[in-house]
Amino acid sequence: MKRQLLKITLILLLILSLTFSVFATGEWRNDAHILDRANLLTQEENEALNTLASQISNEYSCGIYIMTVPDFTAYGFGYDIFEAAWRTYHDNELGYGPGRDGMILMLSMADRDYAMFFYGQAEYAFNDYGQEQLETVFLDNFRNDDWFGGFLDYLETSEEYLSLAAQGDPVRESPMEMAGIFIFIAVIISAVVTGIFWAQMRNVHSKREASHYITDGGLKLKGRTDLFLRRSRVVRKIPKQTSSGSSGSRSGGGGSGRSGKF
Amino acid sequence: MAVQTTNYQCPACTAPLQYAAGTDKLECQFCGSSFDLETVEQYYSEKEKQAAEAMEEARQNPISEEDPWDSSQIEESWGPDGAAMRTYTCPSCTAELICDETTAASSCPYCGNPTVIPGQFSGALKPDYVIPFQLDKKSAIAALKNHYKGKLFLPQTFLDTNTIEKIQGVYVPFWLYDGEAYGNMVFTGKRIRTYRRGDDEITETDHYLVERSGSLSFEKVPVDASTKMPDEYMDSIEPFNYQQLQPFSTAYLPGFLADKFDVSIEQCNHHADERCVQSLQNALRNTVIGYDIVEPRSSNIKLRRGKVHYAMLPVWLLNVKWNDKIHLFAINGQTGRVAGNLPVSMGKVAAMFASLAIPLSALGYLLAQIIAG
Repeated sequence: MKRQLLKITLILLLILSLTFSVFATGEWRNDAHILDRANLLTQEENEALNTLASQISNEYSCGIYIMTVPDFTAYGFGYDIFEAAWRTYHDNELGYGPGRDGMILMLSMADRDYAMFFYGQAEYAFNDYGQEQLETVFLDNFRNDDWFGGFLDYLETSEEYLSLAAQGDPVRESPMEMAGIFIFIAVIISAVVTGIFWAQMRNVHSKREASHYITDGGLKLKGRTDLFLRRSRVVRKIPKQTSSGSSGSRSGGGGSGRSGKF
Repeated sequence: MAVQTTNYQCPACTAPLQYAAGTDKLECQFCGSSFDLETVEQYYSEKEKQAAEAMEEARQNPISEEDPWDSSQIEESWGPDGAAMRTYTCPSCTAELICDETTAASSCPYCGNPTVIPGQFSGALKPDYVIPFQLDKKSAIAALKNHYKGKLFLPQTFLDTNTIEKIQGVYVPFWLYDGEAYGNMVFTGKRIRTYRRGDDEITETDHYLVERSGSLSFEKVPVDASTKMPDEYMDSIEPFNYQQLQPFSTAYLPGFLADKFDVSIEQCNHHADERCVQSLQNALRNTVIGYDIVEPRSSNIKLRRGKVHYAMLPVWLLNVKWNDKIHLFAINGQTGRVAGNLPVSMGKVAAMFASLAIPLSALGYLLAQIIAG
């Protein structure tokens, strides 16, 4: 009985490890940058994108990858596609050079989920704002099932961002818009504080109530009714578009990224 | 015709007596004697009676002159203004003085003698109560100076060059209303709860109809009964402490100006009603608790009107001159509470605004730079 139990356990462990290894190592070869398990691309498209990704990776010393899967939940990484992308990157030791600098875009077709993960120097080229901007260039293609166009936009825009980062001028949000908001808040605070002091200069007002002259005992409350009428309910869908990961919240590697639906 | 007046003279030296703020005594500024109000009142009630009799006799038996000066062209009548004017003779220097019909206590501009015109406070016109002055002139000025403290926008030149043009202690006539407000109010109340279920954010709102009814009793709600006094100033120096209300006596008046009412009870009713209704509405609203949003829907408040009392309440009025403009301040002669709008230095306003806005904006800009990376 014990032997049988041991056998079953070993078989289960084998199946599990095979499943993970398929997802983990899969078909990532040394020169592979595109892994299209969802078969979204033709052979020519796949090769073209792989060539471009390879060139960009070599030019900027930053691995750039694309992976599509039918359903990321089938690989045992829970229900978080960002975690799946993160695990794929680290388990397969993707990235360029000893620092394993690089980035990966993962698409899962079952529920049309996507995730981007950035690691090492890639995080310098793509900060939160850069990541947000990057996803806007390909999401519209994916929503129209234009897979090749979306991946091409992803690669070309990534090249542009990496180029700017290499020149020491990475894409960053213009501080002016945010500064404008902060300055507006500063002006409002200043006006309120000034107004408080100004109000102290004027203390002549007509009295509208007579609270000082209420007799002892105060209010004699004679009736008190709180009648429940009805309950209304408003349901709002919480957008998942802007969830993001950070090195602090992921163990065994770090990095950052974004995930959502397309 | 001159009106009989009463001025309280020192029985010891005949110099004028003045009411000493914060005490129940009349003091002689000349010889330093001091007398209880009761003693002086008794002493003078007899004198007033004699003076009235003398005046009446003089009116009935005027001095005849065989060859009088021709004064036929002089109008005796003051015309329409005359009805609102009264004359009285200063018993100290005999100057004949003219004042309006509502003035009841004043001082002679020639000799400074404090005088009470008793006819103004006789019969039905006699006030029920008086709150004697607790603050003397020095204390009133000190209260005003204290009012300036901490006012950041007060022009420095105002502090340096303002002059108190006039300071006058005035017993202001007030109607004091007793009564009760009762009724009910209806509100709508909302309790809001937000929670998350799966990918949904659910906001539940419970709607309630809330009704409260009750009553509030009021005692001596004051309403200024003099058109000379700006109502807002009189409202602003409230409250008065009625623990110090005294039965009215003219003995409290010497040394101060006193007006009789020229706004009737009926004319003041509205303000008293409004204050009582509003107070009950506030009190009922304060009992509606436990809701995130409360909105009043209807209010049905009625008044059970009670007695109205007539009282003289102490107020210091100060005219402060600065930049050729007069700034009026009223000070509660009992509590020292000051009411008056102060001049504002726009330079100081701009400086404060800039000193806050510039560093905060710079901080905001730096923060934006840091956040943008």
